[in-house]
Amino acid sequence: MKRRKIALIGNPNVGKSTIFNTLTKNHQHTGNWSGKTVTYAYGECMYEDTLLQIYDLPGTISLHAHSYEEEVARDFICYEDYDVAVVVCDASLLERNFSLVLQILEVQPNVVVCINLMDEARKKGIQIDFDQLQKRLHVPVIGTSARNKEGLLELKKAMAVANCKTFYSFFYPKYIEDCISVISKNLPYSRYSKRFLALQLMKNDDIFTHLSWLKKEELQNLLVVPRHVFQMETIATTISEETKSIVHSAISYPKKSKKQFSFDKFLSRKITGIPMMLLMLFGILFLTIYFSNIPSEWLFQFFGNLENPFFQFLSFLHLPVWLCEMFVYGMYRTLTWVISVMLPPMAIFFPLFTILEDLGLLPRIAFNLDYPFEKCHACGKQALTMCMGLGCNAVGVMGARIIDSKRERFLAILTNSFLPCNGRFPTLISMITMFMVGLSSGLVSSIFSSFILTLVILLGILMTFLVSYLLSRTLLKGYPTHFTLELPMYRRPKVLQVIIRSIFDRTLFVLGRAVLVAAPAGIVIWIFANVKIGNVTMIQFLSSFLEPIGVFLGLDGMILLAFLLGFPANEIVLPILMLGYLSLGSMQDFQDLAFMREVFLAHGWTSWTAVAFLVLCLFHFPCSTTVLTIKKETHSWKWALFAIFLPTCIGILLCLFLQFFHFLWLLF
Amino acid sequence: MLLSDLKEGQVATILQVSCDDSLKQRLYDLGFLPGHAIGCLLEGPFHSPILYLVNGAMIALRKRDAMLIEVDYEA
Repeated sequence: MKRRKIALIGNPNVGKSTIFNTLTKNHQHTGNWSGKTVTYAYGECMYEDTLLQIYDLPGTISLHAHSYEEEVARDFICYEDYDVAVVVCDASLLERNFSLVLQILEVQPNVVVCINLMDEARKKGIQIDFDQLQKRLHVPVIGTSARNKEGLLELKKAMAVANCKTFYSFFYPKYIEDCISVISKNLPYSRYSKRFLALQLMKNDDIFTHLSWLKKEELQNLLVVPRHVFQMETIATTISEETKSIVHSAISYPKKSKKQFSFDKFLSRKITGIPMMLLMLFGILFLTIYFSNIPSEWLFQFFGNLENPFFQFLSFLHLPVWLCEMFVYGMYRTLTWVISVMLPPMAIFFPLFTILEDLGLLPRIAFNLDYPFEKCHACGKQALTMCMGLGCNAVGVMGARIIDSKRERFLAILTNSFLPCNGRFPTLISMITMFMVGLSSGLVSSIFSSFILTLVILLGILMTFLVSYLLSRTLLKGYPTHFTLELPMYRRPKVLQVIIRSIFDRTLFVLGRAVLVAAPAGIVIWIFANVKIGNVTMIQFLSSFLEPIGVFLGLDGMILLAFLLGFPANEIVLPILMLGYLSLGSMQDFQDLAFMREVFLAHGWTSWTAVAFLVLCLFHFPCSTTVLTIKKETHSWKWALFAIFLPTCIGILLCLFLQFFHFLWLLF
Repeated sequence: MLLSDLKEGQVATILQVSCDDSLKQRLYDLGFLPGHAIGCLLEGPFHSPILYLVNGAMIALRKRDAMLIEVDYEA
C-alpha cells in the first residue's frame, strides 16, 4: 500500500473543511466565515491502493501570516514534509485565490488545484476553461462541488497520482530577478525552491532566514543588493498581473447581479442594522424557549416515572439501601434533570445557530459591531468569539485565535464568559420562567421570557464593552490595531444536513460532557447530603459556612455552594441546588418547574433572590473546561486566574448593587 | 483623494498604499494593490467600518485604515 501525505490549503471559507469531511468521513465543524478551522485536522481515505493522509489546514490568504491560524498553515506549508499540496479555490473568487496558488507553486511543485463551489459559480454564470488552466499552470486543475459530492473522485485520483517535479515560475521585473539569482547562487542545498527562499529573504521575512541555513552575517552580505522601497509592491503586483492574465485567459464572468448585496444593505444600514441583529437574537431565543417547554416536561415526566422502577430494580439486585439511594436520588436524578433541562433547548438552539453560521451572518454581526469595539480599543472580530461563546465559552475562547493582535485577543478571551453559554441558558430560562414570567407555557409568556433573556444577554454584551474599555486603559493598555474583515457571500444552508450535524456533533457532544460531569457530581452531592459531621450533614455544614456571604449578596449559602460545585460544568448548578434543598427537607418527589418553584419559595426565595441568581449566573467564574482553555490560549496561569477573578468580582459587585436597590425599595 | 472619501456606489482605482509593511502586505494580499479597481459598497451603522469590493471579494476596513489608501476617482 502506498501512502501519500496531502496538505489541503486555501483561502479562508472556500470549503476546505467540507472537502475534508466528505473525503475522510470526518466531522470537522464547518461554517461560512473566515477562521472556522483554527488548527489543522487530520483524516485518511483510500484511493485504489493509495492511502491518502489528508491534513486540513486553516485558511490563509497568502504565505505572509498575520494571525496564529495563518502561522499554523504557513508553517505546515513551508516546513512540513508532504507529497501533494491541494490548493482549494472558490470558483467565484478565482482572481484572489490564484495569487495563493502561484505562491504555493513557488514553494512546492507538486500541486493540485481544486476549484470548489462550482455549483455557485454555475448559478452565477461563471464559465471556467479547465483545459486552458491546466495548460497555463502545468498542474492538474479539478472542479468540485463538495457540498453535492461532485468531482471528489477525480480529486482523490489527482491526489493519488499527481507527480509534478518542476517548479512553475513566472518572471519578476529584471532588477528583482537579478537579486534572486545573486542570492540563490549563494544558497546551500535545501529541499525548498531556491527561488522561493531568495524571494522571501529579499522581502526580509524573518521566519525564512533560518530555513536558508545561512548565518546571519552571510545573509547580511547577500542582502547588500539595495532593497528597493517598492520591492514589496513590485512582487505583489507581478503576482497579481500573472493571476489576472491566467484568470482572463480561462474564465468568463457574466454581468454582475446585485440581488445578494441589497440584503446586506438592509442588514447594515444605520437605522436597521442594530435593531435587526437584536431582533434576530430575540427570534432565536424565542424559538428555543417556545419549542423546548413541552418536550422538557415530557422528559421530566418520562424520567420521573422511571425513577421508581429503577429503584426497585436496584433493590431487586439486593444492593444495600444506601447504595440504591445514592444511585437513584443522587446520580439518576442529577443526570435526568440535566438531560431534561438541557436537551430540548440545545436541540433547538444549535441547529438555528448553525443555520445562521452557514448563511454567513456572523461576520455581518462583527461588521456592524466593529465601531463600538474600536472605541473600546478592541477588535470587531471579538463579536465572532462572543457568538461562539453563546454556544460554549471554551469554543469562544479558542475562537479568539482569529484576532491578530495579542492584546485584542486577550480582551476577547477574558470577556468571553460574559456571554451565557448553552450550559447556562436552561438555568437562566428556568429562573425567568419560575420567578418573572409565570409557569404557563403559552405564546405570550414565551415571548416575555425571551424578551427578558435578550435583556440578560444585552447586559452581558454591555459588560463586555465596558470591561474591554477598562482593560485596554489599564492592564491591557494599547491602541486598536488594523481591522480587515472579509464578508463571505451568502450561501443557502443545507437545512436537513445542518440539523442532523448540529444535533449529533454539537448537541450530543455538549450534553455528553454535561452528563459525564453530572453523574459523579450527583453522587458527590448525595454523599455531602448524607454523610454527617457531628450532628449535621456535610451539605448543611458547608452551606451554613457559606450562608453569611450568601446572605450578604442577597442569596444564600446553598446557592453559592451550588455555583462552587458547578465549577466542572455550569449545567449542573440548578440540579445541585435542587438536590441540596431537597436534602434539607423531606420532600422526595419531583415533577416539574412548578414544584421546583415551591421548593425555592420554601427556602425563602423572592424575586430579588431570583434576579441576584441571574446576575451571578451571568457573571461568575467560567467553568473548568473554559479556564483550562484560557490557560492554554494565554500560556499563563496568571491570566487564567484573572479570568476567574474578573467576572466573579463583577458578579459580586452587581449583587451588592442589587442589595442596595432592594434596600431602597423596602425603604420607600 | 483618499479611499475613505469614496461614497457608496462609487468606483475608483487604487494609487498608493502608505502604511507600515505588515499592514501593507496584508492589504496587498487582499487585493488593495495599486492599479486595482475598488468599489465602495456600504458604510457600517456607525460610518465605520466601510465595506469595499476589491478583487471580487467584499472586504471591510475601518475608516482610519481606509485613510491610508490613496485612490483616483473620476466622476
